[in-house]
Amino acid sequence: MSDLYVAVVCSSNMNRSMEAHAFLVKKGFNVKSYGTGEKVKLPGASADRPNCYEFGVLYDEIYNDLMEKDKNYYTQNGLLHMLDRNRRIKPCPEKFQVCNERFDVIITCEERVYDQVIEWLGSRRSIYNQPVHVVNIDIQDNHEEATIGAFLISDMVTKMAQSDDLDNDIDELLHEFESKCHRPILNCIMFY
Amino acid sequence: MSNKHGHTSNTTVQNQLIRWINDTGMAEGNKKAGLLRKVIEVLLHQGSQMIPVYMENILSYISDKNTDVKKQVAYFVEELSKSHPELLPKIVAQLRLLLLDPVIAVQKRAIQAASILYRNTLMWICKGDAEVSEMKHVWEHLTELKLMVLNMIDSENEGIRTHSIKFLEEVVLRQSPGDIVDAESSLDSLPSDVPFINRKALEEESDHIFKLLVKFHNSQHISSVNLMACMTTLCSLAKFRPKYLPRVIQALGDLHTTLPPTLSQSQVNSVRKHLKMQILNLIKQSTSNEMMPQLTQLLIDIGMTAQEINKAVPKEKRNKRLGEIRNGDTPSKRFRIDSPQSNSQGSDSNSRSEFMYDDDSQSSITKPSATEDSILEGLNSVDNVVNLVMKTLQNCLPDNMPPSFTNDYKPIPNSGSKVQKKNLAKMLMSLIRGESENTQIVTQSMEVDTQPNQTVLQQSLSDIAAKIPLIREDDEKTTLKNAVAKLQESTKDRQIESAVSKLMEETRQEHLKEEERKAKEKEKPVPPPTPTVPKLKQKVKLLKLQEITRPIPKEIKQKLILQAVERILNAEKDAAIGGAEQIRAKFITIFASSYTPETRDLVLNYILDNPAERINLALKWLYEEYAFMQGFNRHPVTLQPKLHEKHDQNYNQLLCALVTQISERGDPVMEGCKDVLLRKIYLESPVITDEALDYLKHLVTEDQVALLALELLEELCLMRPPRAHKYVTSLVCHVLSENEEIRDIALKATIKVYKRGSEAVKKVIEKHALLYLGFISLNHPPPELSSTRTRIMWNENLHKLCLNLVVALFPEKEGLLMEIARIYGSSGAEAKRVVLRTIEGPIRAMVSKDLPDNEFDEDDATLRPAFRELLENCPRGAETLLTRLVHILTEKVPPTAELVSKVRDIYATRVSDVRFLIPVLTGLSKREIVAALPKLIKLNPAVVKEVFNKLLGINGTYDEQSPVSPAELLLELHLIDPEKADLKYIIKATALCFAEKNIYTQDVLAAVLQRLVEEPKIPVLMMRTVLQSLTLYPALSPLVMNILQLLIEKEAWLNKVAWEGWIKSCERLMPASFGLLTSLPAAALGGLHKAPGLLGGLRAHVAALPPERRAALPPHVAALCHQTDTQYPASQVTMSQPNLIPEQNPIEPLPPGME
Repeated sequence: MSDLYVAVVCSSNMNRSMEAHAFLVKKGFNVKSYGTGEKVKLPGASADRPNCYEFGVLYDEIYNDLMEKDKNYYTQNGLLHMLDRNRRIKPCPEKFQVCNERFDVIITCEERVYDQVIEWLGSRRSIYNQPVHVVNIDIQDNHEEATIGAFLISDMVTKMAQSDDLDNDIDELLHEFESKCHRPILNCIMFY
Repeated sequence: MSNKHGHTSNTTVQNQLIRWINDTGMAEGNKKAGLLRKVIEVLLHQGSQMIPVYMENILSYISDKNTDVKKQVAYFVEELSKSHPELLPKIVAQLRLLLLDPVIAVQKRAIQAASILYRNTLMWICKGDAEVSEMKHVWEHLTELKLMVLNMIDSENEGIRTHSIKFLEEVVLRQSPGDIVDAESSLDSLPSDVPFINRKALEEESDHIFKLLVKFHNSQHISSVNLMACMTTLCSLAKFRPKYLPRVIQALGDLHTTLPPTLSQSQVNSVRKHLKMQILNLIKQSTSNEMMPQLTQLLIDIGMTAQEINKAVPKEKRNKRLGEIRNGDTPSKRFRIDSPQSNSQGSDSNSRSEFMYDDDSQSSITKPSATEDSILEGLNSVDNVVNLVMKTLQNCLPDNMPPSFTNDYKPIPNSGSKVQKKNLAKMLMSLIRGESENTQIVTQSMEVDTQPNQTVLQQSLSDIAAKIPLIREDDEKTTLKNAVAKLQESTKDRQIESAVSKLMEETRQEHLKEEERKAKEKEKPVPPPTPTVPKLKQKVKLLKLQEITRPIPKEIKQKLILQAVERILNAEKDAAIGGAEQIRAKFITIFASSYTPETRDLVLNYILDNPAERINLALKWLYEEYAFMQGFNRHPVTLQPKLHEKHDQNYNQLLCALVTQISERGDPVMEGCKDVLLRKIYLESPVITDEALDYLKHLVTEDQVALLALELLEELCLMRPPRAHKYVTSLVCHVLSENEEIRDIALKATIKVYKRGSEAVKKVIEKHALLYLGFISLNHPPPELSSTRTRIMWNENLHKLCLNLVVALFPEKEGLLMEIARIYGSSGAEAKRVVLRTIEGPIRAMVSKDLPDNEFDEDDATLRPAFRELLENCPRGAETLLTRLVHILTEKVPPTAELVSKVRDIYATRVSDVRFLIPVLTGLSKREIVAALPKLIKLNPAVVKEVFNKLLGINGTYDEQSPVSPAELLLELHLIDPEKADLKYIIKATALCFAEKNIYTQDVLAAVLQRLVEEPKIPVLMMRTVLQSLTLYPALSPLVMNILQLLIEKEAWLNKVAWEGWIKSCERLMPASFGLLTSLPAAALGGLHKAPGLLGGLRAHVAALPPERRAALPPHVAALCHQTDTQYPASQVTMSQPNLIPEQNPIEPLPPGME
């Protein structure tokens, strides 16, 4: 479709980023997804006892683990379904801070994640001097919002891909997008 | 072995490479880019020894059309600079070409490559293993490159600017002395013995570029992306080159206070956030230790709480910072005149250049002599503060509040808090140093040893002013002159927007210095007595409008409203001149529609004063009312008088008022344009209410406007289809008008509407048509038909009146025929006659309309559905109508089989009148015709004539094959049972046949006679026909002789009538018939006495016979001859008679016994 190289980043690389990842892949974009959190966190039986995994543990393993723990419960809250979807997209959740890719656009799903991405990018010395646009769009971490978010992200990426000169158009593009989706957008430019 | 292996693999790689290079030359577009990419990858990673050989092949694609291909070249150059710096002299020129590429994407890629190349070049030079001339060559190119990119920072394209910023960061970084951590890529590592590199100059250059970046960073026009890129760059520079840290912090602080005004809210958020992130990033650097307080202050300004900051700051620094504060030895703080909370853009009195650092200094304007901490201590004592405030109030307040104060002042949210006190202390500090007059109070009350320095501020200002030109001079020396100057100018221009920064900008110009200083002095006497100000403000706030004013009485209010509206109404000309026409109209419509009835009247009268000119206003008002009526508009709560409870009435009232007033006022002015106005109102208003419609209907009865009203009605129906079915009733009723002109127009209009209208409209019109049609079956005309109350009687005209609509509609909808027939059946005789007469035309028209279509395929001609229906279910009493219909149908074309069968059915079951069959006679079978014949000939002669014409095909306009041939017809006539039809009729009928000589030729008659004689029983009229035929065609005599002979065999003398005829025939055929006579038996001869001529002739004949023959005569013949011998001469006289009679009139001779 276009040679725009996109990353979608959320906290755990489970729900929001994967939803968008799935969506964008279907649309033919060159996309990857990441999480910025310390660990992959999934809701557990109670709010204070989440299921935590290391980045790199396979979606499949998490799936089986949860299945063993309480198949009914995790089927009902949609986690198993989500994991099933994820494992068909890629093997495991990936941590953003360890990846060596150079993207054209990084889309984050939460302000905290945006901060972490910028912090990480800012903490490194740029070697390639290649610019990357970091854009944040707030998406709540639940299934419905993730779906809506994926739509929005797909919209945005489509617009970006349509632009002949993204560096020049991004301000206007995001401004337009913001007024359309009625969500605050954060963006900045960083360098690899 | 391994060598050999390596060699073979090298060959394969080379072969592959050559193939790809060749392919690349042939390929197009993206494929080409892909191939080139492969070539480059292989070359760089597998066949590096082949690079010099194939390099040129790749570099030649620099002028390719495809963007991606060119980007690949840039990538190649970039990679080469890293892995094969010895090739730099060959590739550096290529990069220059790429930088000049017209495609922006390529330019950007080239800038990016240039930054890498720049870094690698410096490293290459550092190594110093190349020849000096080569190095110099590369360096010169690089310097040019640098200049090109520098100029690009003013590019139109944002991406190019962004890349340029990054490039400049690289340049600054490489051309400035680094610290130990980062030794490898800084100025320090450059060899000092390279002749063309002047370290000092390079460092200066980097400094200027840094300044350029700072200026760019703080310029008003910068876009958010550039700003953030610039911010990142500055912070990164600050991180790696700590000497820039203070200036960067300063720049960030300035940015925070005056963000570019062009940013949108979310961009502002993004920028603020970025700023925060960058500062936090800086804080984490070990190099930032010294600037910690400034950084934390900046974070506080941004809005972070102390806790948050503490969390972000690394642990080891936290302690250090605390220690510093405890020591009271904060080295340099930023002093600000404004309140710390005023952090929104352009709202404070701070200016970005206020604290301009000069080139080498890393500290602020002056070192503080009295520390903030000491003042802070003083502020902690309530007495001190009270004293300070009291003194200020008494002595130092100006008489009038300076305008700048109202602009700049912001209420202090955190008054009394520690932070605020600290800020206050800071402000006092700056005040103490800047102002001598008031310091005494402060010093007295605080017992702080200050060193009043009247000229510090002035000095600092003039310092700045003096230094700016200095910078310019420096700039001129540098190679960056153009870029920097441009930047300064653009910054200057844009800063004008901010009032304060403009002021500071002026300090750069010496002739304004004086004024500026005065302004400053004016401001100075206002110490910031912050605690008192909120109170003042509160007092002002207490003045509530409700408390200090009294509501105006309602009557006066209304009067004022009316007067205001009146003024606006009267300002028609002024508004037009001033271009406020539209707004005025809008106002007026709002007043009229939303305010009191009085306002309504006022506006209405205004419009009616000159409706021609103000009709548009009226329409606007109508639309406004309509909007209210439909609920598109809502009255604001304050404008809802009780009257508006039924505001759906307002629209109607207004519409009716307008139309009635316009048509009835009788103003001479208005008369002229009445047509136009009424038309405009009716056609342009959003909706026509029932009342307005009624009024229009009524207008039709008014002489003058009747035609207009009709026209309007028609247009309403046509132009407003959704409601046309409502409007059309008003139009239709006029087809009954007594006035012929109106009636005609109404009728025409109705038909037009009917043709174009929707189903609903059609239905309405049909309903009316049927209603009117129904009138004719009433005993007395309904009241609709008379304008007066008096009872009137039916007459032809009234009947026609009722019929006209339905008849006019008939061509459009044939189905009405059935309805007409139904009413027809139940109507009186007179009405029936009128119906028959009026309907004939349309039916005929319809039939003839069909003709052309069916000309070529008559067989397929089918009945129109309407006709078929009527034929199938003819209502009672409508048979005559049906007959008429069938007549018309067969006028021009032969009856179709379908029609015939239908008619036959009807004839068999319902209509016994044989006349009904006449039109389809030709379609009936012979048997049927024969059966009907007795009845047919009984009809009145004209009809009988028509029947025969039909049967004989006379006057027929079409070729029809009559089922009975003329001969058969005549024969059948003879065979009619005299019981069924009087002989008289049969005779008349045969006479008709004989009259058609063209048809009844000799042959035909001969055939008929032949057939007749074959009949077992001699038909009554046979002999009459024989005689008549003989009269017409004497040549038939042999045949007749034959017949006579045959009749003898049949013993015709037994039939009296026939025998008389026989004898008459003989008389005609004398003398040939004598032979017959002589052969007669005796019984037959008796009849001859009645024909004396014949007898005489016979005697003469016998007498003339030769004797032998005479002897052969039968005895009774001979006897007869002798008996009557004496009478012979008499018969001689009558001999010539037969020849005379028939010629004159073939019809004349009556059959024997009939006279």
